[in-house]
Amino acid sequence: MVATVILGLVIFGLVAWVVYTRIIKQKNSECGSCHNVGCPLVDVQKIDKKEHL
Amino acid sequence: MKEIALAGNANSGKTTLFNYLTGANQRVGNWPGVTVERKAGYLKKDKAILLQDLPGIYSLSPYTPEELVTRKYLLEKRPDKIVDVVDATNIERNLYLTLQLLETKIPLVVALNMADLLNKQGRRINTKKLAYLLGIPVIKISALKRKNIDTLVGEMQKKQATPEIIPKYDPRLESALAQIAKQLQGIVAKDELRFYAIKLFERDEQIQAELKLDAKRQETIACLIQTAEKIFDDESSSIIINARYDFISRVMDQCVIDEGDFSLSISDRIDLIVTNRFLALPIFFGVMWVVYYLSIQVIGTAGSDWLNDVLFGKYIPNFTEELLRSWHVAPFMQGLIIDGIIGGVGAVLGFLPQIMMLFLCLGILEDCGYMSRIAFVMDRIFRRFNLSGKSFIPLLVSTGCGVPGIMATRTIEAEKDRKMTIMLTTFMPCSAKLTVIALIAGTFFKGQSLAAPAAYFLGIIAVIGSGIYLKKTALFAGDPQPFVMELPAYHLPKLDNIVRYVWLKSKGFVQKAGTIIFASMVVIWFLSNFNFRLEQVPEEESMLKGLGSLLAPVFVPLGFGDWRAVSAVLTGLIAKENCVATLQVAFGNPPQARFDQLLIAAYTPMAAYAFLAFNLLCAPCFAAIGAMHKEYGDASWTWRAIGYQTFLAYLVAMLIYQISVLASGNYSIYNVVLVLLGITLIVYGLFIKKSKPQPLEQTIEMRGSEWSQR
Repeated sequence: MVATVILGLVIFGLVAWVVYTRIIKQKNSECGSCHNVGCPLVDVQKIDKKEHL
Repeated sequence: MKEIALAGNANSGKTTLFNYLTGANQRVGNWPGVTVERKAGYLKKDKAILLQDLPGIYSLSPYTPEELVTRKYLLEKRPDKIVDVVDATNIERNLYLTLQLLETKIPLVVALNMADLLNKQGRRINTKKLAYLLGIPVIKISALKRKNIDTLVGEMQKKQATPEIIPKYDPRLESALAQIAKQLQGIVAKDELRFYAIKLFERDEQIQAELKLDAKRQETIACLIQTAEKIFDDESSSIIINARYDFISRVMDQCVIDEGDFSLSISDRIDLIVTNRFLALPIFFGVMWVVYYLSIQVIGTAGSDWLNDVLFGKYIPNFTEELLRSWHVAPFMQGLIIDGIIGGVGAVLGFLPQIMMLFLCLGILEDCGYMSRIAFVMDRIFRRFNLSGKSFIPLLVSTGCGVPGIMATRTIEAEKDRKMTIMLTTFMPCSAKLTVIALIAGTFFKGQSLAAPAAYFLGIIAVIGSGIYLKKTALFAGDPQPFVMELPAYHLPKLDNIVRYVWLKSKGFVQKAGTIIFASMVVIWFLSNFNFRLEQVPEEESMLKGLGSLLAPVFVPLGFGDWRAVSAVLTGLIAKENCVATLQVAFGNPPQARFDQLLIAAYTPMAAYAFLAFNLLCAPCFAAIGAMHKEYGDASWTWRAIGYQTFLAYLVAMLIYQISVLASGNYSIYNVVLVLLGITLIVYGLFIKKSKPQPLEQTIEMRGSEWSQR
């Protein structure tokens, strides 16, 4: 029972993290980049982020 | 912090140099237009220097989006230095941009790239003399072979004064420029006087608007330009172009030595065959057939079979099952982990060897220079149908992923062509769609070598057919834009370039499987194992069946009006890999051999191919739809594109299935009507529909811009 609860928390936590990072956060960053890295905006976004830090 | 810009003509090797200098992993394409926006990175050897990789351009005139990006950056940000990457094998044309960069009065270094290829051309360049005549440092390098890069870095680190020597043109032109510059004193900085004077002389509308000169100055400048035009008997922008080329010609006479008469190089000889009017297309089809057949149906399959049957079929599920039992995990959670997550994600990851093989082959073709020839060959074909070859480059980029393909349409200046290419670019099979191609070809068409390559050709035919039809509509009517591209010399593929290409594609694929596909599978497993009252039930009574069955009747004419296939189509909108993973989960995550049997029992081969065609051509995944929306900047255009793609996918898939039913001889009047309807629509769109005339205003505008560029 305990293992089931822990696994459930881990799995659904990961799902929530994926939804947040890949969908919600992507929308906020206005970056249409994909993870094939061929996107010409990837570096610009990285640099912009560094500049804002 | 010192900021240095990398500028240069398209395909002169800027991105290769940028990657080496910064340690970045930017995509290096062997065709022009790979860099659409500027990118930045810190110099590996000196973190105090920020390097900006600018898009490839031919001039600082605002004709193309790349030229606009570069010019805006140079004028507004004024970097500390520019490194002008000059392709030594095309020095005349490259120097045209160099002269314009000199006019900005920003400290400049010329990196004479591909200097190692000069010997093969029988040409020598005296760099000392060139440096003297231009008044700036000139360093011979080879970005690809990493020769002399340290010297270039040393030059980049040096403090350099503003170039004093600026190209001097015809004295009459110089006099006009000096008088215009006088009008600008106090309005622009002293260093920028000449640049703005030349731009005003060229009647650059953007610069005119930016300077906001008073009426008197405007009149004086207009008078000066008209006088010069009378003296030279030419239009002002042509006077400047001729003056620059005269200067380049003088520099070339003094610095460049051609050792032999013109003779055909090996590249030229290969091109005589590869780009031959009659042989080019059969060779291209042959090459792509070999690439797809070998990767998806022969070599890659061996690795995929092992992953599916052994790793994700036995080792991982058996080990996990034992572990979960020992932990006394509830059966439903075991089902979620083994059947949902391992089964679904494993079904996608199983295709990794095929994807790696395909990108290995495509990487070799691109790196050796063959793919740029294809853009050239396709331009010849596209032009016949009023399309521009420029549209083909985004399509090539799309074979990796539709999102950068859509972004790459920024290289197309004509707005209508760009909008149309955004609509068509996702017809090409991306790495996600490859999983569907591999599943259908491997399960239903074993040993039939045309099954996988046909999907690639179907994408190209859909692009050409759609182009012909859409160009006839008022939305996209217009002459094709000229497509100028330089064919790089053939060379042996560089191992590190190919390895990086395959690595990036594979890494992206695995990352996506571990994130988006993982999350999708948890949701899909839940939907396929629970009913609307949240009770655990068999798949046949699940929510997924309920939802899929709602839309299933729509897909009956396509041969796959079954809730599992329809659910796969719907989840494919999240990511196309989900099509495969959803089928795996919806069929209860059986072992590979049993899964194949279940698929063959559920669908006919042509219904399966219709499923493949529909997923290939219909609305792309949400990431690509988002990119489309961003590029269109307009929801109505995005919906228009999605509507057209889905309609075409439906039409093509329906024809594939219905024609197969007719060919089987076991048909009804219903099948005949559907085939006739589909064929009539296609024949009307391609052959009968008359082209809409271009609006008069646009025709005049276009003729004007063509004339002004002459």
